[in-house]
Amino acid sequence: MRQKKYVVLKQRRKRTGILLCIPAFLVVAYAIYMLGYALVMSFNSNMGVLSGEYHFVGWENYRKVLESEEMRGVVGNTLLYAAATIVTELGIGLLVSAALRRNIKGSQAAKVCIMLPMMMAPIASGTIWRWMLTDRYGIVNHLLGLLKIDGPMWLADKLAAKFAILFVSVWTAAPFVILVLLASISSVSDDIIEAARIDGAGGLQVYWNIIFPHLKSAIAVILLIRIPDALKMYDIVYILTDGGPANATQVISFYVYNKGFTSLKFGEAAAASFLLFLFIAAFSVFFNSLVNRNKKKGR
Amino acid sequence: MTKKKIFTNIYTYFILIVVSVFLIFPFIWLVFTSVKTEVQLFEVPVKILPDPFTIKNYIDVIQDGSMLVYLKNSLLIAVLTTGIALVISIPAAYALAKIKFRAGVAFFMIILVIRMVPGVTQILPMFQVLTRLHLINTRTGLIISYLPGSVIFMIMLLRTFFMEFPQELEDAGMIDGLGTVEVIRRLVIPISLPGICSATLMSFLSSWNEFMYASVIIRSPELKTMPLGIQSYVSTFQIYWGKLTANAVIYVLPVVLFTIFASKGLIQGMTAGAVKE
Repeated sequence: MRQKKYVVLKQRRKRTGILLCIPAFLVVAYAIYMLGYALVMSFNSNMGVLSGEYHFVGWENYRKVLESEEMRGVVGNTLLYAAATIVTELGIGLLVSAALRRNIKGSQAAKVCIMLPMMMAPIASGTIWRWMLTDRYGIVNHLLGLLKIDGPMWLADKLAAKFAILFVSVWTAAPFVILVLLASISSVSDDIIEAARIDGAGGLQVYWNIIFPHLKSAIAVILLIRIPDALKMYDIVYILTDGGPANATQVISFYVYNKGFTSLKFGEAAAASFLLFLFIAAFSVFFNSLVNRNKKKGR
Repeated sequence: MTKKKIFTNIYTYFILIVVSVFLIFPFIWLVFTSVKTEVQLFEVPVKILPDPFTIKNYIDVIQDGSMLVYLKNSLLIAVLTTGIALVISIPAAYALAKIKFRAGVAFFMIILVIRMVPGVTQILPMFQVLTRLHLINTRTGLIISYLPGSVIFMIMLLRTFFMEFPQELEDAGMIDGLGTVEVIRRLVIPISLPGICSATLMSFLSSWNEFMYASVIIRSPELKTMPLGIQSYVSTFQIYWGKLTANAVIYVLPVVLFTIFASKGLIQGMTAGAVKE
């Protein structure tokens, strides 16, 4: 009798769970529908999407995207940015979090300063930097001039424009990396470090052998969040260089957007965007399993 | 020993100051630019301090009036999106955190997959669908397109907060005859309020800052959000930097103030999901 009652209660609780999820599921279903729609679009001809009909073209769109010269440059740029920004951010993050580990005077104020760029709209940050990087009236070149360095035409020179994008994306995303590392580093107990000091370990040794291993899982999380984000970058490129000069700063989201909404080649755009999705999904799954396997090994 | 301590302190402060200046300087420059005259902006060599100091840019921008419209639209859309997302996500996050059921596990897997879909993959079909539904160039259309992202983000974050909610308290509530909805309303929400607040803030900010979807969906000037307003300044042939920066200051100011006041809670909310594993 009691057994039966328990089962009934459990059933009821499950039903409540499903009911509670229904509204959220409807919203997510909309997103699933969009994903399916994108897949269908990627097998439709460009004209077909525009006229609302369906001309199945097989792998045609994917073939066109993968074969185009432009796409190769775009993919190269995107991977380069993702790698460069993340390495720079991690470097800055490790340095700053190590400096802020001990609660010194003014570290709370520093934390607020660190947070600000992250809360800003990328469009607004891009605008400010665009003004600061103007070539004759910009403050950046003026300051470089004080150091007797002849600043480049930041947004008009191919190489300099790449650095400009890198700079601004690091500026917007480094705060996140710093704060996550900081949250993780502050949970290293002072006693262990004190013990290591007494045993004669130097500052660098302490960092490498005690603090750094502690940060590993935080770094994994950062990579898992930041790499997909960096691959999706759009706003900053749009506002800073508009993909120029001569496509030197085109990234994949930007390419897809223009292919669709400027050239109206929605079929090809959908194919390219689907490839981006698959790449991000494959990366996340692979990386996740790598992290999980390491965790098991650690135990 | 003390000598070494002084040295490490100097090193610490040096890094702190350099990084803080790098991160903060653009804000200062933004404000300086907005209070300079148009003539002074194009002086070579660049003069750092605004001299003469003027608030003409702000007066122009406010008199022009379009900025107020953009602000109103941004606020309306961000508030509605966040409000709706909250109402939808709290029950779902609770169910996923506290109730073991197979459909819930499947649902959470779906959420994880959908979270990986890039915005640009979503906006292509969304444009087609919204056009067909005659929702292009409407605020409703924009809110609908923001909702999935907000709901998914909130469920992920709130789920981690709700998992910490003490089971004993919930059981006690149930024994006293509260239904699940009552438990959520009277116990879970008040106790998890800090977490809910930071989720609300982050979701609000992401709508407030969003540009790509808005640039596709919104066309008419009277519906534009603030990022679109700023973009329309930049894409004209001649950029009026004074007015543009005045606009940007007004747009960014609430976010800055808010960050300063709520920094502690925000940092906790932001890093909670990332550090606990």
